[in-house]
Amino acid sequence: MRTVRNTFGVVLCVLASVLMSGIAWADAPAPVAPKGILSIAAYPAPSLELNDIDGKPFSLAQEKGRWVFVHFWASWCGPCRREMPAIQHMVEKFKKVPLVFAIVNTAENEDTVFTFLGLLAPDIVSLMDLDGMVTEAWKPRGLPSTYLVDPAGIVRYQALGGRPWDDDEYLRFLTALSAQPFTKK
Amino acid sequence: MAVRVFLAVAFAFSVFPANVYTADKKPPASFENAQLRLQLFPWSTEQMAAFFEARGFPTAMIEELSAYCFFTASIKNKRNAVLQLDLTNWDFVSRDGRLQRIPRSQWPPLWKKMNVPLASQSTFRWMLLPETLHFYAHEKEGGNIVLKKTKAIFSLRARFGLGENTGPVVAMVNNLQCADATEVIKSQ
Repeated sequence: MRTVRNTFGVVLCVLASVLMSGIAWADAPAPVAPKGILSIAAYPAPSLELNDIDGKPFSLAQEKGRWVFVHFWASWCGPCRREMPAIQHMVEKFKKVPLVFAIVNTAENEDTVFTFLGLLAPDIVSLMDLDGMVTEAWKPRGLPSTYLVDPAGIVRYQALGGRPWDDDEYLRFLTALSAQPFTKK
Repeated sequence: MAVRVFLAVAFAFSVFPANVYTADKKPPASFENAQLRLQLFPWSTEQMAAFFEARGFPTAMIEELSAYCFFTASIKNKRNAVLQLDLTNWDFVSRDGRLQRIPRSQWPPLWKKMNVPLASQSTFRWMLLPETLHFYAHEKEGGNIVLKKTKAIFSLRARFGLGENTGPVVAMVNNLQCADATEVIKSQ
């Protein structure tokens, strides 16, 4: 009887601690954003429906349930040129991380994008905002511009200018963000 | 044409807009204090044309733009607080008086009238410095300022807001000149 009671006690303790840790996990504070990534007043992400350079359609609305890294760039923008290789490194490292990448070229043609990415980031498949209207709807502060959209489709963070996305600090932040359990607020 | 192609490639691989240098690598006209850094880089008509040609801008649009004087402005907020940019607080003044800056709002009706493709309009728009922008702490942004072409030497007096209960900071940049000033002189 004593053994049964002890076993019951242990199970109860384990259950309680699992539940408590579960609650703590769900309520875990957002990871600390590295320099240059601002936690902003949340707002619903504008529409983002574009084809990629291979003609494959992408819709931000279809990606609910996962964090999305939305990045606007153009080949004529110097900081974009410096930043793109870092983005490619990050994409490579994040193959098993549930983070979606929506990398959007602003108002350039396939030839320009193909040449630019071929030189700097050959594994990046860019979305093509051929007339620039999607970029316009997002109203970036400038190019390059990056937003982090939460699994509910809410814009939560904005990066200022080009960032060293493949630095450990940034990778840790994005990994932690992507690992957060999704709870509707 | 070969020169234009070369310039186009050079520009495509330059560090626009934060750090554009003209072909002669002249250091930029600049202002710096504890609160901000402002740099201005002039673009010649040929550089602009090469840049736009390389991006498939219509010839009529490029010809229209050749009547203007372009500077790339690079602004770095060095504060731990917001710095307010409002281009209506920027005065370009020569000995003959105030120069006319072409605001962003002037271009769309013109491009519409000229049937300029949306992609070219978009690229042009993104290349312009925003009319207003609240720079976050340590944020750096850049973009183009467009003036009516002039041969005059002029100064820029740019007032930036620092937020409530704080007076503006004034950046002065002297001895500015359109990159094509000598050509303007020749053609006049």
